[in-house]
Amino acid sequence: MKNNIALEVQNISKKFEFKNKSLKDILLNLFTKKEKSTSNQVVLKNISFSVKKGSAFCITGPNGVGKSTILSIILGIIKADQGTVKTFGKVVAMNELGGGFHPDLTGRDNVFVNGRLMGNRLSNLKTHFDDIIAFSGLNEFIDRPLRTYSNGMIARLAFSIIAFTTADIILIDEVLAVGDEQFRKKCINHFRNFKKNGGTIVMVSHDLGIINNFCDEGIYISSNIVSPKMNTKDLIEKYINKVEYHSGL
Amino acid sequence: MINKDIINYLELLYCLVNKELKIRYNYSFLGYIWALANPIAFAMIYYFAFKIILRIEMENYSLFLLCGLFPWVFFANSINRATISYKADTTLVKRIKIDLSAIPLSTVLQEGIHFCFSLPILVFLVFLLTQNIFFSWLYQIPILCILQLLFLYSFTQILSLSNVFFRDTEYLTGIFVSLSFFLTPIVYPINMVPEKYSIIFDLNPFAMMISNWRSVLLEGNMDIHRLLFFFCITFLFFLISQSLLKRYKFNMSELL
Repeated sequence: MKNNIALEVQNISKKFEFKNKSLKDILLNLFTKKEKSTSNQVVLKNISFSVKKGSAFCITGPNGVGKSTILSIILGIIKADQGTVKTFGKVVAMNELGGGFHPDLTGRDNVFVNGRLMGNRLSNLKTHFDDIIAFSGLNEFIDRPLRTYSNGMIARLAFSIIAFTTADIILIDEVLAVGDEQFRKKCINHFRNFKKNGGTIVMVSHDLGIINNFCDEGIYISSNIVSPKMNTKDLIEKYINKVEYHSGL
Repeated sequence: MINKDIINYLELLYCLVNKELKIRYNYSFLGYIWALANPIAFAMIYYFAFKIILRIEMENYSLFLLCGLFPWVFFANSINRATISYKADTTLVKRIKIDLSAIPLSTVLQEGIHFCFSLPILVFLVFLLTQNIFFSWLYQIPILCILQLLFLYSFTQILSLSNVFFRDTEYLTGIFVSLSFFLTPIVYPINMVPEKYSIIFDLNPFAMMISNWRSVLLEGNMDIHRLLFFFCITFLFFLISQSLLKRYKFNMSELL
């Protein structure tokens, strides 16, 4: 039973502190005496969920409630104040496509830099290089500097690197809307295969279409409530209800 | 397992350094000139100011200047650039899980590579102007390079971390580097310093290193005492930097 779990999040809480960061801030506060120099913002409170191996899990809800923070905690960039996160397998994040890309480097060099940052071995990148380029469809552009690429082309290149990164769990933050329809279909297909082979996906999204035809389960988070884990149909219903309630429709 | 981590770390460093060098040199060898331009331009202007206007009495003053300026530029550029390295690369800190210590280290290594590129020119100038070649350079120069790298790694790690938490660090560092230039015997020889101020130079790690570079390049001598002292300071900084890194690495992405 335990073996089916790819990811377990138990009771995590997180608050952010806002501190004065420079002499200027401190001096200004000294004279204005407006408010206390530190204030806290509670972002996450007792959040728990578990994700089954080979499934796609969605976290949805309004902006600014800490959905991306959850992904950062799972990835291990931010530490939760309380609670534990257990991951079984290698985690790769797709929260910012092309992090570490540089406009003056050629596409080829960016593949190696970004691929390495994503946790690939250089030897692995060398063997898959042709496949990455084929997947991205950027064949003749690959030796031009990245600044000559369109946004769509950059996203395609970044996505193709992820596609050939070995991982057990992929974290996705609102980035599936890349490229044209054809490339988007390719991405979705790629993730379906990834799932079929036992890979796990955790995504943050507002895109009901993607949630509907791609995810298996999910939770809804807002500033005051965290829903229990539910299936996609209920999740979308809940989301729509909330939106209607808050916008007074 | 440990071996795998080390290989991963080295590959990461290689990628970061290679990336910056390629950007800086813009895929051409001409960029190499820029590594030399800075110290040589400053050597010329200091020569003009101190030798011609202030009429400092010294033989081969230009060579004396160059032997101090090249290693100083390695110090100064590394410190200034590495201090802002975390702030300049927020995506790497906030979005991607990598070993953070590689970020300032890669900046220091780039500067180290620039310095190593410029060493042959320096050695050639020493030979041209003094007709001396010392075989002891074969071990002395690598020792000095490695010591300087270790020092810069630890020192910039502390500065770049504190710059995340206290944004004034980069401005203070800029002032500190400019002042240190004149408190380090670069444009003047250390024996011109009055006795009562000599304590500043005995405790200044930059002075220890610069005077060693100069005596190695010009006389083939190393001052072991000063180097040992320099190593002790480096080790102290190393311990501080590692404990800071361990303590604060998870707070960084929140603050940037």
